[in-house]
Amino acid sequence: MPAKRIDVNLATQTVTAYEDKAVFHTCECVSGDASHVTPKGRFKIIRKHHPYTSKTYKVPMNYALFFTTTGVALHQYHGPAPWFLLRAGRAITDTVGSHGCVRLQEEDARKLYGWAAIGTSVEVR
Amino acid sequence: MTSVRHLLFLAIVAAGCRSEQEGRAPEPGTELYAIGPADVSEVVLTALDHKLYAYRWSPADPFQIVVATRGRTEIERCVAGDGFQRWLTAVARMPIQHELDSPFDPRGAEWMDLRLRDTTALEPIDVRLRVPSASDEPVVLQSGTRQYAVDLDAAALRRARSGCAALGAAAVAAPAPARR
Repeated sequence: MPAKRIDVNLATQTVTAYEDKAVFHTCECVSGDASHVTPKGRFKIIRKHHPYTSKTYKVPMNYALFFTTTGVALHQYHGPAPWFLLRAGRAITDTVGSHGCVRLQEEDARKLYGWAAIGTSVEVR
Repeated sequence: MTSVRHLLFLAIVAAGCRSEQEGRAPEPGTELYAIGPADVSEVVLTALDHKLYAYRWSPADPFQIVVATRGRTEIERCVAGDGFQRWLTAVARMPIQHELDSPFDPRGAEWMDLRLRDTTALEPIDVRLRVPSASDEPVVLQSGTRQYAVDLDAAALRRARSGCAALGAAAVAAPAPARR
């Protein structure tokens, strides 16, 4: 079994999934805003949910891959604004972003969700 | 001129905004949830005629199991054994086979509510399952208004109904009354 890991690069706002050293998938993301910075460090996928609606925020978080015990996850972006506007906004200011989660486009979230297993490593840097 | 540009920008944004396409059924094989069995700290299983509560204070401890069955006055207690670990591993992930075209009535003796809680601050997993008595029917999971056939061994799930005889390693004796 190849070792799976997910790399979240906050500087470039990208996510890359690896099987051993081979890239399985790479995609854009939008992480936490300046008030809710996505925590850096090494984590593991501890919970998967799809479909999923957060009871705390009352918002959908489909294809959720939770990697912190406080509820930070990689998941599908469900906001009303188009993805390109969200990305453009984030490129201008870090006041644009999530409450700490790593938002992905639906197809990227779906692909990572189907690939990642409980225990898959996640590094946020 | 600036305000015209702003209006134009807002119009583009408004046009670009879209309602999310919610409600697409998950594809076959998708895990509706998954959790590490080693992290689970509490299990509650509730059916019309059967209740099971299993807990442990830390992942290093064995589960303590309490079982109540309708019509029986005594409450069973035992320490979890291999049977419970196999059962827990079976329900720790829920891959779907397909969505049902004709949903079952989500009431009745074959339905049970399952809650899995772990040692994190995450919300517990709550699902409603139909565990058929017939061996040729799949286990069904209710999610919102939808029902899915899930890839679970119904026989393994039915084992929980047998209580400590199937799940326990050793019965826990009721405490002796205190002497005065």
